[in-house]
Amino acid sequence: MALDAQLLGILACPEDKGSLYYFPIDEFLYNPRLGRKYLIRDDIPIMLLEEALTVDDSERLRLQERITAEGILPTFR
Amino acid sequence: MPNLDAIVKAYDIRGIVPDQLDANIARALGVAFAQFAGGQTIAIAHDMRPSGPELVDAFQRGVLSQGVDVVNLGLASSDLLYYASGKLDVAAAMFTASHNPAQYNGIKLCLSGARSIGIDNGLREIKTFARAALNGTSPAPKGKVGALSHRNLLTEFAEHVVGFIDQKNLRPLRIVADTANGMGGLVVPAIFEHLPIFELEVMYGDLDGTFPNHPADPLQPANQRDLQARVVAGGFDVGLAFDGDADRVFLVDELGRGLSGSTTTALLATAFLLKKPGSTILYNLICSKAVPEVIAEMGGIGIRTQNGHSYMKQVMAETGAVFAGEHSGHYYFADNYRADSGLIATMTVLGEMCRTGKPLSELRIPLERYASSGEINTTVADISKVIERLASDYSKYPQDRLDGLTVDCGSWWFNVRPSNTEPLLRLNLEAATRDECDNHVVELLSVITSI
Repeated sequence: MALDAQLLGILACPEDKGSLYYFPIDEFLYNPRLGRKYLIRDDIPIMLLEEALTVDDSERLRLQERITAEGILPTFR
Repeated sequence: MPNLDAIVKAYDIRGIVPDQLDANIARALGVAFAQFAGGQTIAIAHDMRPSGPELVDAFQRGVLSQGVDVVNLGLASSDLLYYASGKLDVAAAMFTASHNPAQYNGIKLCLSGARSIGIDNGLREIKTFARAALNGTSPAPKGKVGALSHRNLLTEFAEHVVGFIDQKNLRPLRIVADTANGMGGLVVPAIFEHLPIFELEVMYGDLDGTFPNHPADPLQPANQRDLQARVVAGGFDVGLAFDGDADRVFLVDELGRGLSGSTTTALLATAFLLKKPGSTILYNLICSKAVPEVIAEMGGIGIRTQNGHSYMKQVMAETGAVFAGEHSGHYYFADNYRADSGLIATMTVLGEMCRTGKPLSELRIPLERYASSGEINTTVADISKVIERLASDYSKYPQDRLDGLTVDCGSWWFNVRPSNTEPLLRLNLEAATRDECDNHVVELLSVITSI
């Protein structure tokens, strides 16, 4: 149930227009600058500001560690 | 394994080159910043420190390796870089260590639109990315390397800055600027080229990151001495003291007396409230009580804010404030992407002098109403114990904890707050007269040092 690679190559945060980090198993896209998660439901990323979840500081750090540990690349470049 | 914790501070990255910050670490930080910022392009500039070019080169390679483009602006003041971040809408990195001694260098990072990045909103993440880059565990980027271009924005920046003064209303003022061998030596003359009616003399204008004349920290009175003497000897209308990266400025009146950051904030607030009546103006809580009084008298909305540029900018964004001032000589402008600029502050002051035709020694009088202690730092073993003791000793007075502890004793007030880098307690106090101020300082220091 992975997002299409082409789609991943263009997905950006609707708020700051920067790239996101894709967590396929947890099914969300993450913006480390704003500490925000955009959930993916039924393979469709919900790129809506009002549906986005803001994470607390300890989760920010956890997700950050996972990005580097799992070698997750940012979307588009 | 290089120690990133030692160089990643609350608001920026800073360390001794090469012991703490070298090309390898700079490269890793470039990789990290590119990964964090998430945009297509990053702008980079540096100040006159000798280690600048090598660190920039390494950082740049790190950024380009991630497929992110670089716009290299070359030698710049910090406010020029913030302007670029706003104008070009790109994340940016400024290599500077402001007024720190010559062997230091550092990086100030911001997202597009000059949005600053501190430890709570990105530096921690960037540290993690950098660690992976140093470990060699950073994922290899999938696309091609980024493109490098060079741009000189000095002229555009000068035009932007000059837009803050009313050019139809100028008088032939004589101005002397002490740029302390810092970046002011490049940007100050460039701005004044557009204002030929002003006569400008520059002291210590050679860019020299070894600071051969005096430290580039105008907040210290000792560093203003040469400028004050020159203002008087040369009969200038005003003296300007810039710091190393030229984002801060301190004023000296025609009698050779320096103006505090509070007085300058009040003067700038006046100018903005005349141009835009009813505006919101921010001031940090260390400023003199005169500042909120002046704002209210001029019909503005004053908001008292925590110290530090990330708070000032955040509250500016939330409140739509047109201007924010700090006692430390940082002045932020909504029309400058909310970034601070010593030059834009200068333009505003010169504009006031031209509009009124009055000397600075006269303009300052209604703005200086109280006696201030200046910032007194004491080494303290247990900072929170001292703060709690003061809170309890002065419990009968209104207090707040916006930043450290502030106590309002009616005819006088004080603030104590911890330094975020050293085990110091910073005391700022203001009273109606010099004697009362001195007495209260003694009163407080005796408690502070007794614990």
